[in-house]
This record gives sequence, C-alpha cells and structure tokens, in this order.
Amino acid sequence: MHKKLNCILLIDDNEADNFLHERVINKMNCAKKVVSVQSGEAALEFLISKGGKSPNPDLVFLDINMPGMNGWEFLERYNKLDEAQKAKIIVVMLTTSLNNDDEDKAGNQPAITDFRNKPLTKELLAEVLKIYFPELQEKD
Amino acid sequence: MRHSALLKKVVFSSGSLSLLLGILVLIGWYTDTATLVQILPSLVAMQYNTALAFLLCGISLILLLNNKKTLGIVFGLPVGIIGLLTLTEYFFDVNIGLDELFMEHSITVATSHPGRMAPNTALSFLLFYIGSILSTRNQKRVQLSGVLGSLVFGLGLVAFAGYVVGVEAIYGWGELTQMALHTSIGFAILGIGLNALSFLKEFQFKVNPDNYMPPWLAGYATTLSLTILLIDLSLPGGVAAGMLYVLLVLFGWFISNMRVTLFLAFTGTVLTIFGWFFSQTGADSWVVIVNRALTVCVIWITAILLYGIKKRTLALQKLYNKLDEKVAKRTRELKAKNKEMEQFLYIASHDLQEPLRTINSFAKVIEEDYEQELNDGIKRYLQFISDAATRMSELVKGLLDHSRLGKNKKQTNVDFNEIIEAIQKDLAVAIAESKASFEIANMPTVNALKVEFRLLFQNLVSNAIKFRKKDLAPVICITAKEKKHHWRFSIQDNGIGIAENHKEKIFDIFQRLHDSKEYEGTGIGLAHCKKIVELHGGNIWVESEVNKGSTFHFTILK
Repeated sequence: MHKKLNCILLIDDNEADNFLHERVINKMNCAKKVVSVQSGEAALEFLISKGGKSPNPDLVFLDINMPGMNGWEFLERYNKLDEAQKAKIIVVMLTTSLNNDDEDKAGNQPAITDFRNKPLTKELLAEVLKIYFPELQEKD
Repeated sequence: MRHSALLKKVVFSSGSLSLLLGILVLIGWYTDTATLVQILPSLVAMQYNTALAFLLCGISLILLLNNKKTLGIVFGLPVGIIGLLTLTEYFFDVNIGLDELFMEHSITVATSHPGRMAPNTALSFLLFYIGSILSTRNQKRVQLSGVLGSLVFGLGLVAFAGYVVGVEAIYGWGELTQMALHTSIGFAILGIGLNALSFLKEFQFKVNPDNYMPPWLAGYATTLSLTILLIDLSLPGGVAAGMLYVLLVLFGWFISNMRVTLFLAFTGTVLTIFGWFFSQTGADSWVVIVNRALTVCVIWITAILLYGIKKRTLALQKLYNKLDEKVAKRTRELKAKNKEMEQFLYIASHDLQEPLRTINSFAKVIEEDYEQELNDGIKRYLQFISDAATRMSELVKGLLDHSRLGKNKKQTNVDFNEIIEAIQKDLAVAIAESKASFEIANMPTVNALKVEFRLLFQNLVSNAIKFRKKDLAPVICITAKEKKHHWRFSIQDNGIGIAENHKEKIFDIFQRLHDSKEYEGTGIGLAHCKKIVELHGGNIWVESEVNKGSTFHFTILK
C-alpha cells in the first residue's frame, strides 16, 4: 500500500460538488481521511476544534463562490489562526477563470498555493499531488 | 510655463529698450546731438525730463520683473512725481521750475513751455508709475495695472499714428507741447512691458475662466475712443468722424456683461456731443447738427442690435449649457445601467455554469458507477442529458466571453501581421486538413486591443475554413486599405457563401444558419467580431454570393 495524505479538507457550499470531489479522492485512495464542509465557518470550526481527534489537513480545496462567508473572507480569518492549526497546501477551486478584481485579491493572499478550475478530476488531483507532495510518488 | 518665459522676455526687452532710449536722448542733450533729441529738425524734441523718466522707467520695470518690489517703486517714484507735477503746471498754468531743473532747453520746436514735457507724455508717465505700483499688489490691482499698461501703450501708439497719418492734433494737444516721435514709440514699448508684467503677475493667482474679462480690453477700448475723439476734434465738425464710435460699441461683443454695450454707446454719445463743442470750425451749424444726430442714431442702432444679438447668444449659451448638463447626466445614467447589465450578465453566466457542470458530472457518475446495470436506452438518454448540458455550458461560456470582451483592457500598438501569423499557427490543424491557402497583403500596425483582434481574425479565418465547399480547397485572401479616418480590412473566401437575407442576421448572438451536425458551433463567433469592431469605432459587414464565396469587411478608426 502506498503512502497517503493524512487528511484532505474540502470547502464547498455545493453538496453535489463535495460529493463528486470526495468520490474522486476516495477512488484515488490517496488520503486517510477526507473531510467535507459546506461553509467557511464550518471549515474554521473544524480547523480550530479538531484538537487531537483529527490530524491537520495536508491539502485544502477551497471554493471561492459561497454564500455567507465566501472564500476570500475565509482566507482572511484563516490567516489569523495559529500555525499549528493551518493546513500545508491550499488550492483554490474556481468555477470560471479569475476576473480582474479576483486577480488583485489573489495577489494579496500568500496563503493560497494554487488555483485550479472546477471540477476536481482524477487528472487534476494527480497533478496537484505530484507537484506539492512528491514524497507520495517516490515511495509509491 | 512657456508663456511666462516669453512674458519675462517681453518685460525685460521693454525695460532694456526704455533704458536705452533714455540714455541715448540724455547723451543727445549733453552733447547737443539734435538727431538724438528730435530726430528731424522740424519735429518736437524729447525733453530732458522725459528722457530721464524713460531711463528710470526702464530700471524700475526690470527691478519689478526680478521681484525687487520696493526698489522698483523707489526708482519709479521720480517718474510719478515729474508726471504729476508737469500735469499740475499745465492745469494751473504755473511754472514751478521743474521743466528746466536739470537742463536748459535750446530746442523749442512745437514746445509751449521750454523743457516741459507734453501733457500726454506726463499723463503716460503718471499712469505707468501707478500701474507699476499696482502690479505688486493683489489680483484685482494687478489686472488694473494691465489696463494702465494698455493705456500707456495706446497713448504712445495713438501719438505715433498721428505722426504716420500726419494729423498733428493726435500727438499734440492744442497749442501745448507735442509728444515727440521717439517718445511715442517709447510709450508703446513701455506699455507692452507693463501689460506683460501684469499678465505675468496674474499667473500667480488662480483665474476663473468663466467670468474672465481680459483687463487690457478696457484699456484698448479707452485708447480707441481717445483716438477717435482726437481725430474728431482735429476735423471740421461737419465731417462724420464720430461714426467711428460704432467700433467702440462693438467692443461690447467681447464682454459677457449685457450692460457694457449700452455703457459704451452712452460713452460714444457723450464723446460725440463733446466733439460738437470742441471740433474745428468750418461747416454750417445745421450740417454739424445733422451729422452729430446721425452719428448718435447709428451708435444707438448698433448698440441695440448688438444688445439683441448678445441676448440671443446668451440664451443659446444657456440652452446649450442646459443640454450639455442633460447629456452628461443621461450618459452617466446609461453608463451605470450598462455596467449593471454587464455585471448581471457576468454573474448570471458564471452562476449558471455550476448547476450545468453538476448535471454533466452526475450523468457521467451514473454511467461509471452503474455500468453493468444500465440498458442501452438509459445510456442513450444519459448521453442526451450530457450533450444538452455541455451545449448549454458552451452557450453560457459564449455569453460570458461576450460580456468580457474589451473589459478593463487598454489599447496598444498591434502589428496585424503578427496576429495573422499567430492565428495561422493556432489553426494549423484545420488549415492542413482543409488544405487551405492564404494570400495575405502587408498589414498595418494599429492601436487596438490585441487579444480581441486575435479572436476576431481567428473567428473569421476559421469560418472561412469551416464553411468551405466540399470539393474545393479554401483560398483565403486578407487585405487592408488605408482610408482617411479608418483602416478597412477584408477577408475573402471561396466558400459556400451567404444568402442575401441572412447577411445581417449572422452577426446576431447565437444566430446559426446550419444545423450542428453539418457545421458545429454556438453561433457567437460573429457576434464577438461585431462587438470587437464596434469597440474600435468601426463597422463589420459581409458581401457574398451563394456558392461563390464571402468577403467580410470591417473598419477600425485610426
């Protein structure tokens, strides 16, 4: 059995998207645990309160377009968390390509590692893992 | 700032010339050089005091230019005193010993009192001195100094004109000492200098252009009326010289205040009547009365006409301003509405993508997860669902792209040769498959949106390839023609052509002429082209004959 990520966190208000993304991750069998939440608040709560129960997520897929607290607002709150509570990699998932306003915002967000277009497919996930978690490949 | 450099030069030259004039004439007096003092033996001399005053005026002007205010005024002070005292001497008919204080005057051609400068000379010096003091004060006073400058210039010019036309009465007031020829030139120069100094100083204040009346206009109006009066006085009363006051009334045109016209007409009337009493005799009194009455009539008719014209112009101006405001307001509203629409379109198409993608994804998930259990019917239906969702997604993306064309982008210099080369590379596969060939003329470099024009050429060229005849390899000919105000580009093909009744329709969004089995596409390509061309202030249209081919033309402003 190859090495797996400890935990992947999915943040998307769309239940169907979360379901599809979870399905892809499970099929790839690349994480011990997949947590999906439907709002930024829920994601922050998970990151803060998981305590010893759950490992820190290695990878977060974040949707920007969410009702209530959107992706950008989530990132603002996220930046104020303790380092111990933060994830390793954050990939922002986009419905369509960035417009100019979003590009400006993205430039001011050091927490973001990468941008990808929806949906999360097998190929996309494989590529992200290859770039940001090369150790998984070597020991594969 | 370029103006102020020029003005500084004018002031400096004026000051220097005045200084030089003063020195030369003083030398003339000390060395008994008549040419320097009177130029011609028959002409009046420039008095010693006058030459001294010119010298001081020149120094004063240069000092004021260099912001040495106090020193400038101190140097000007003797000028003012000489001017004022000389006028007092004339007025009270006394001699206080000023005239020959510095120099005994041997030359007394056309001189009423030896050594005493002409009354108009004295007046000019006094005006200059007052003007030079005012030029160091606040904005209103600086403006007034400009008026005085133009008056000094005017007095000099009037006298000079008198010499040129040979009317003695213009440069000599009655039997009194006349203004010398070079004195008149000196004042013209000094007047310009003071005027320029006033402009220069006025730049230091903020000028409200709406209510701005060039101050020198008043100076020149006064000069004009003075000249006319002098001409009038020098001619017999029966000659209609007063008619020239019409010119004075016309000055009213340049000043926005309505009453100015009437005021000028009133001034003209007063001067005409004044001229009646003081003109040279030599005509019957009835001729004089008829002449003066006619003059006053003409002045007032002109004034009333001008008043009417100004009133109408003012009303038109008001109407124009109102319209202008209205248009500006409407434009603002339209812009806001347009922005709102664009935003709406963007959000709508953006948010529509998500559910479409979900439908598509789940159609695939069903197929993947339940492959064994699905019969062919269900698989076919799932395919329909998936195709429809994909197609709608494409349409929505087309709308989104359309709304984003030209948004927040700047025009740059675009080499159309490069663009065409680039799209040939992009379409390499289609070009190779269809065996398409190109004839491309030399293209210009135009200020345009680069990405958008790439898209435009890509659409037009790929259309030319797509709508080719089945048995004929496409030949695509691209040309550019320079016109006066725009460039005209043409893309010609030898394809299937477009029927006459479709030539307009094809540029509408999502308009297609063929079913998607025959020719694929969403039908947004030409709508994109139209929007891109319109963003550049141009037009797009097509010339075509069915089965012969089409030529798409578009223009863009230079």
